[in-house]
Amino acid sequence: MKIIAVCGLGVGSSVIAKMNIESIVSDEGKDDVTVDTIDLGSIRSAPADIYVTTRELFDNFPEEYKAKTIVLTNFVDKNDIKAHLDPKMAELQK
Amino acid sequence: MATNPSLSIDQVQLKVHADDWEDAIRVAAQPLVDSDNITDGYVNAMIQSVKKLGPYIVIAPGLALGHARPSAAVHRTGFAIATLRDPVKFGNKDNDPVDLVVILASVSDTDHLALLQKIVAFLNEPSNLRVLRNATTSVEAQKIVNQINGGN
Repeated sequence: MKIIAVCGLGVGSSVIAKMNIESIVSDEGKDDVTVDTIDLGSIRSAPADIYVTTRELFDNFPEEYKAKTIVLTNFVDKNDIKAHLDPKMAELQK
Repeated sequence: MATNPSLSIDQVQLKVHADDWEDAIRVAAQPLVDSDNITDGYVNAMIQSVKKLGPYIVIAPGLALGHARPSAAVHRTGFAIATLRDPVKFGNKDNDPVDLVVILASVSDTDHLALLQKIVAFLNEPSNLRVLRNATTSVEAQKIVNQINGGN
């Protein structure tokens, strides 16, 4: 499974999201998940199963990507990220 | 070539005043300008980035991560942290107002990762956030710096 964290520049918030998601999936023992980061402008060249982003950037997402996307309001609270991420990952594994 | 940066106490400012969100970024970044880690151009780039992309840099309740792309305006990778005496609004629906600003400046896409990992580990703990937000003295600042650099 591939998860991509999307931010405006690809160096700050998305990197923080990546670090926390990697830590969460590692704790969950999911070793088949890879996490990358990109800036929003590059989304069409970066296929993934799940995209993670903020509310402000989500509004600018291409429509066809929105169903695959999780909106996070807190990039440092691992419990909050997990609460959004786990249901989405479970949905994909059905 | 990674430069293995660490946080120093003069990059941490506690309970400073900012007039508004732009000022908050300027004030928080000033130690990095003073130490010539970054130029004023980088500070302006961080502000322009918010104007262009929106206040998405407010990545958690009350917490803004000021940053711009690596560029020639960054001489050395570095971070700075400021807590604000009076919170300011960035225009972020979920996470305003902001009372904690973290500035990130990197010479490359990777040079900041080791220290960022340590800062993220610190920010992951709600109790650390409370300590940082309540801190007022240089002794407390030094403890926070040591904790971040120690990576736990």
